Amino acid sequence: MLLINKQKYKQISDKDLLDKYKQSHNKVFIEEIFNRYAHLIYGVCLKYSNTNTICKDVLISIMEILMKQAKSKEIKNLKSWLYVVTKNECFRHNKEMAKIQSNSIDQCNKDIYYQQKEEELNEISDKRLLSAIYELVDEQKQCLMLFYFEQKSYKQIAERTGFEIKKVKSYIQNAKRNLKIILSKKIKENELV
Amino acid sequence: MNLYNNIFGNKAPISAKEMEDYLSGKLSDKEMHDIELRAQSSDIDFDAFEAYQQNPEALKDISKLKTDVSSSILKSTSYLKYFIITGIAASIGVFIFFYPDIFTNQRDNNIAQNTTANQKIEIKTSEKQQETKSKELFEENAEESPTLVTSAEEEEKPVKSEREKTEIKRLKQKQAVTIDVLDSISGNAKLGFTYNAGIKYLARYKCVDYSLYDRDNANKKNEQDRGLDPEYANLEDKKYKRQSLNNDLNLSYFAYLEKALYKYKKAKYSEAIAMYNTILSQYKNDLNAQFYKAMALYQLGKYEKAILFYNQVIDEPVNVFDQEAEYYKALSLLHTNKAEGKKLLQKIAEDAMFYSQKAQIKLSEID
Repeated sequence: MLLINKQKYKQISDKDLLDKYKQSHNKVFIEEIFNRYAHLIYGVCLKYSNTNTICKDVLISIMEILMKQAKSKEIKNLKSWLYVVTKNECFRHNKEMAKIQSNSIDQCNKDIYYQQKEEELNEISDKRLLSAIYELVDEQKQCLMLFYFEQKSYKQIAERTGFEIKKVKSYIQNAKRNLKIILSKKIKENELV
Repeated sequence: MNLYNNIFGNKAPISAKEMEDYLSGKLSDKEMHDIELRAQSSDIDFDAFEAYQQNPEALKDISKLKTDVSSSILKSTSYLKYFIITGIAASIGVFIFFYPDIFTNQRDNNIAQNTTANQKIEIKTSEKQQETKSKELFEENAEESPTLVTSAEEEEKPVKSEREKTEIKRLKQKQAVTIDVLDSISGNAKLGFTYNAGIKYLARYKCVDYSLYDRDNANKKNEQDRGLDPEYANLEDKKYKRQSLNNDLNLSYFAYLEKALYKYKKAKYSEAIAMYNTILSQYKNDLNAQFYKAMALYQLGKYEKAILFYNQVIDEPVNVFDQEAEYYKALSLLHTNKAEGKKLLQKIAEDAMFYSQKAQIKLSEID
């Protein structure tokens, strides 16, 4: 019976899991979220903490924060929320990275801004998106188009372009970030006009 | 799906297994692209993906870490509630099993403590108040007269389970075979009390411990020989009147006596008297039944009858209640024959025994 329930929970979206937890306070839903994201949170911890030893503490802290906040507050985008909270917890646990923490707060603000604009950006037409892509620098534009439009893997893009795999990844990531900034600017300009 | 959603849309998080498969290099280009696409869909996937690429060994720790954290936060807390409830229920069950009479005895403790605390105040109380407190005073006396080992045990462990009591009784019954009665007489003088019999406490009341003596049941009614008792109209009437007692016929002497004492304690004096009568019908000279019947009669205001039973107690060779009987006889006499009662109180006051101080107080109140 428990196994059947667990299988059933796997089909539920993050938002529904949070809603159900908010209503029932049943930790089964948090457990499912934990199973989905524990390894990702741990991975982020590995990236942002100096030692592996704090990763477990950070993971416990995050689950406790989630259980507390999900009861009272609405978490719109769980992935982004987990990412921001994980990074902050890592910085809190890692005093040496205090400088980066201040940067991360800026990043968090940006993330929240993007979340707020998500609905508007969703309505952007392909034509406007393509025009924004053409404004990107060549490396970013090339990698992005190969990755999203031609469905090429990092390895294949690296082979075709001659860039290192690491560079391909960062080009694509930067391309996405810049695209959002360009699109947001365009929306703002339209509103002013 | 439009282009925007293709690039920025939400995608399912990468599982640890998929991550492991990707890093092992056994996936096709299409499968690899699918995972990379999901890794690019969010910062958390991207950073974790990058971290595991740099440190693939860390993925091996994941399952253990999940188990540890899950058991420490999620499962432990979810089962903690049931564990606590089960624990409390079990504790209550064990508590009730071992201390079935805790609530009654707790109330008695409170009464005893109150009476002890009020002992000095009683000097100023009126005669009427003194009389109403006579019951409590008697209980107090029962508390304050621990002279035998059995009474000391009772003081240390005032709340005893039925099982413990039965064990003690069995033990004493065994001892009765081997111990000379005279042994139990020696060293019984303490706090102005002298006993020539073993005592035990039932319902916190002092009683003669008949388990120490080989008491023949000579007075037990033999209905076949004696026929129907004249107090009953016929056999049906007898059956009806004794119906309430029938359930108790299988009880041992002490269990039945204890039940009667609880009736007395709850001020159900008539019911208690009926039970003492049952005991006296089987053991004519039973000191416990005689004395507590007298006390019940005293509480009911039937002083003359009470005096008769106090006299029986005083005349008994087994000397356990003689001082109490004398004191309460004096109090009873104050209602029927004041001069005689006063005379007896003066005698008690001069005896320098346990009740001498109380007798003096009483006398000062009368004067």
